Amino acid sequence: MNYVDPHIHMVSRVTDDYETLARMGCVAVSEPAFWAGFDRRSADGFRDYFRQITEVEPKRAAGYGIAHYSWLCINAKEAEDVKLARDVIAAIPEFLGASNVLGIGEIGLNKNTRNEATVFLEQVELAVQHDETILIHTPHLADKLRGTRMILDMLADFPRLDRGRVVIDHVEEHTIRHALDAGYWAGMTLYPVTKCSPERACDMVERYGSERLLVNSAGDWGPSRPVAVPDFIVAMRARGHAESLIETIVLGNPLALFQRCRRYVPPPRLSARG
Amino acid sequence: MLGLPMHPSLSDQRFLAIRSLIVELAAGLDRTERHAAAGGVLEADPRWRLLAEAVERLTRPGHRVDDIQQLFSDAYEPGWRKDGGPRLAGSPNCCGQ
Ligand SMILES: [Zn+2]
Repeated sequence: MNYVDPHIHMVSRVTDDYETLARMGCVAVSEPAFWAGFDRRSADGFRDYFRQITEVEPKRAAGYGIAHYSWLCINAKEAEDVKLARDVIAAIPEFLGASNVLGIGEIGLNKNTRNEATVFLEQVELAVQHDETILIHTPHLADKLRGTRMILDMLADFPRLDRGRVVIDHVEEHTIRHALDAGYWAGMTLYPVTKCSPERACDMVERYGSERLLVNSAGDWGPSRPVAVPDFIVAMRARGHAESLIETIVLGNPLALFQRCRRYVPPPRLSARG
Repeated sequence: MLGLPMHPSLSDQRFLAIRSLIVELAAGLDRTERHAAAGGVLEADPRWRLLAEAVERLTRPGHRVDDIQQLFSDAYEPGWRKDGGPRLAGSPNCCGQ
């Protein structure tokens, strides 16, 4: 089945992973800007990273027939340094014209600190000013519920924000309803130990339906499975769910979200279907 | 709402999957006790008590997973911004404020 992984950090993956994704039916990936496992020391460090995810990765992906999209921001972890964060935010517009950029992300909270919240608000404002879609990281483990609620509180500061252009990512059983009820997209991240499993993602589909729901791997430099979305497809099939339902979640939904970005160009493999 | 695939009873496959998880859980708790230092260190660890509470909640029918996720979560304070929390720092007119 053709599918999209709407949240994966390909800068941390080897080229063999692109080949595996292509074999599994992946037609497109989207790569939010994130913490690369170490703190960068300057805005120029981020400029180089933004070049990597707007110029280098799209070429690497194209070698395997996969479209590569990206999102730009300073992540919550490095946002604790507000001065650095503001320098990075000032640099982001230099890259917003790149053809593969879908919007601002993954902004959000990590430890739910005041500095993180300040930088989150400033990046939402940046997205609103530039009419960009937004992808939001929610914290892990014990911090997730509180952080998700804080993020929703802050988004309420923006009454004109189109909720249909915002993803609340890494939802789990205790946060999914908050995101969906408020009109946002909800991303389920299939990640070992700290997030969601394919079976639990299937459970949430059964409980909440498929509307505005996304499934991703968040594959990165940590222990993670870049083929987590195919794992979800197999788990849904094993339960007897319709192919059309599965395809809606893994292909139709992410593409519908991406289409909300004015620069969006469909994945070449889908255009070639005619 | 979705048309759920219906299973007339507990399938062997699902029984074995859940059985395996429960055996892993039991062995993990035993292992932690066996490796724990003497002197009540484990019993005094709030995370150990949290695990015990979660195991207790497994026996309550209903939305166990929601209940347990809540148990493992820090409390949300609806008034978290009242004491001078962050406000929009930039232009006041950008978002219909
Ligand atoms: Zn991520």
